Amino acid sequence: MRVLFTGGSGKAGRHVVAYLAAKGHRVLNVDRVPLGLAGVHDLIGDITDAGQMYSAMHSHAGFDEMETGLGAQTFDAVVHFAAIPRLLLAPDTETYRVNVMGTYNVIEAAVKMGVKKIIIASSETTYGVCFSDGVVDPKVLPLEEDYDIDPMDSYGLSKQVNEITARSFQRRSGVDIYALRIGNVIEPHEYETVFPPLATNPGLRRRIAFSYIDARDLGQIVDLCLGKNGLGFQVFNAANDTNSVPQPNTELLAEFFPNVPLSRPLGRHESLLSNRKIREVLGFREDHNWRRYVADPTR
Amino acid sequence: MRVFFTGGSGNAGRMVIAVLAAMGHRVVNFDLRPLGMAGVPDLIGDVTDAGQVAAALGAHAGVEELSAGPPQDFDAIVHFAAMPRPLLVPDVEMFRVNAFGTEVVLRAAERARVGKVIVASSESIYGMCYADGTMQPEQLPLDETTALTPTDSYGLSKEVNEASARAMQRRSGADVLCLRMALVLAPADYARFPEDFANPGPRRRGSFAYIDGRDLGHVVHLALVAQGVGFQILNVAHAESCLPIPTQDLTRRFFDGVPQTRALVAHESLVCTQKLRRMLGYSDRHGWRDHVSPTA
Repeated sequence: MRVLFTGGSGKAGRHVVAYLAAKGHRVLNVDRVPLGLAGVHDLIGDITDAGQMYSAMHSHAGFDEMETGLGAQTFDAVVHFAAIPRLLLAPDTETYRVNVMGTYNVIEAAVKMGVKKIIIASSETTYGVCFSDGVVDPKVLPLEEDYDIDPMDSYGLSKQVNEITARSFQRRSGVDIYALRIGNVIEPHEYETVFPPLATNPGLRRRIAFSYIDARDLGQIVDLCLGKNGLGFQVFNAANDTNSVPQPNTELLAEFFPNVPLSRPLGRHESLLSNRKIREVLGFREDHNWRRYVADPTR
Repeated sequence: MRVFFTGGSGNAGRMVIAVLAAMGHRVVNFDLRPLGMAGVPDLIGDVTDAGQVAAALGAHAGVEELSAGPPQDFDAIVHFAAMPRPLLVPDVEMFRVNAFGTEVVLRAAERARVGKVIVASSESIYGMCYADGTMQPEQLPLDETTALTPTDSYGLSKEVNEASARAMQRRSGADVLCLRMALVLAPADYARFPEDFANPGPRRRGSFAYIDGRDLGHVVHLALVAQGVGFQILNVAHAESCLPIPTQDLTRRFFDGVPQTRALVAHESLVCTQKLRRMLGYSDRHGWRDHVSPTA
């Protein structure tokens, strides 16, 4: 498919773009800084400028496409990752402005230019635990997509708002718009530094419900979304099968979430940011569990 | 109370400010254009500029306060400034002003430790008002638990505003009330009501509901003085529809097949305001029947 990808130069985007390109998709990366990946053209652009997004939606994906003489074509799909990626990088109003206006502009331009498939990066921070003031309990575990999300921080709120925007545009247009509530993204080189300390200090990852998503497995999820049509508006958690810490759920729940009710029985290491929906609906099968890269100290 | 009012020069805002000033509130109007009402200082400003809003909240409420010492805190913010409907400006601009402007005002209110925030939402949030074609509501009457299904960018912007307001309330603990207002009318607007009596179809998008601007002012006053309510969403409409036609006749004609969650009686509005009346003790003072005859 011809895919317009926003934010492909970022921490998550670069791995997803590489995965999609390897799967044979033609990707145009729209970002403020170039990615510089062979076979993927970089278009420098700003998502908070609606005019640029309208223009980019109907564009050549590289100089080679000029040879066809068919003119600029509308993309088959848009994958929207561009955002300020967490709290406290910019003033809160700027985080909100870039993420909310940028996503609105990308979705409106895509819908009005005739794009039939849109995938947006939401976040597990929408569950309201990650960036909350103080220690906040989730209302229920595991975190599943039907949760009443109510984040209090500007980043989580911006992602919640983006889901609302996506749902409204889906309803008016009928195209497919899928929002991925992406967990903490782990790049291949991060396993050796991020994971070993968790064996003795799992509390470091309480705010993200101990979850993670391998950047390459995230690429698989996006590719599965591109190939799955007709679902309308959908929200999917994007997480690996297990928690990122070696302690079993019985220990984690007793120590960190003693007062949180469970909606169903949990597997011994099953991710508290549930990925059941992507496994059942999209057929996701993880390739990169952390135990492939870091010794599990409990085994 | 000292009230920082955004959008007070607009159609709804000017009527609300007149009521608040008459009730003894000290109101500053923050708007792109002046209101020019005696006793109400105008401060020209843009809600989408966070610096302007923050500075304005830390300023004196008019030059006459300069001699009284440093600026005093505002007790409340009433946020009405918005693009008031679609198709005034391109959707991307309307969404920017409404979604971002509201977040800016809420952030500034939190920083200034304002304990009461009232946000103008809209009954268009239920989706029918600006839908392509004819949209059936999920249920009738429309109450605050009805699913929100806006497919237009204006209704969407108001749904987004409520999410921002809920988040701000969680952060601050302030009282935050979102008012889902029906069509707001000035006294002069009632003269055209009889045209609708014979041809009510165009009023379907607004659920045949309305609120008198003076009564809206009274709602805002009641919301200002209500204490300890936390985060609340309230429909705001007259108890009766804008037509001299029994409500069950209207639903048979315009909402055939839509489930009714309770019996709708007489001329009862399809926008349910039981919560508003119960929580704030509101009752209507002005309606179309004071201005035009039902048989006109």
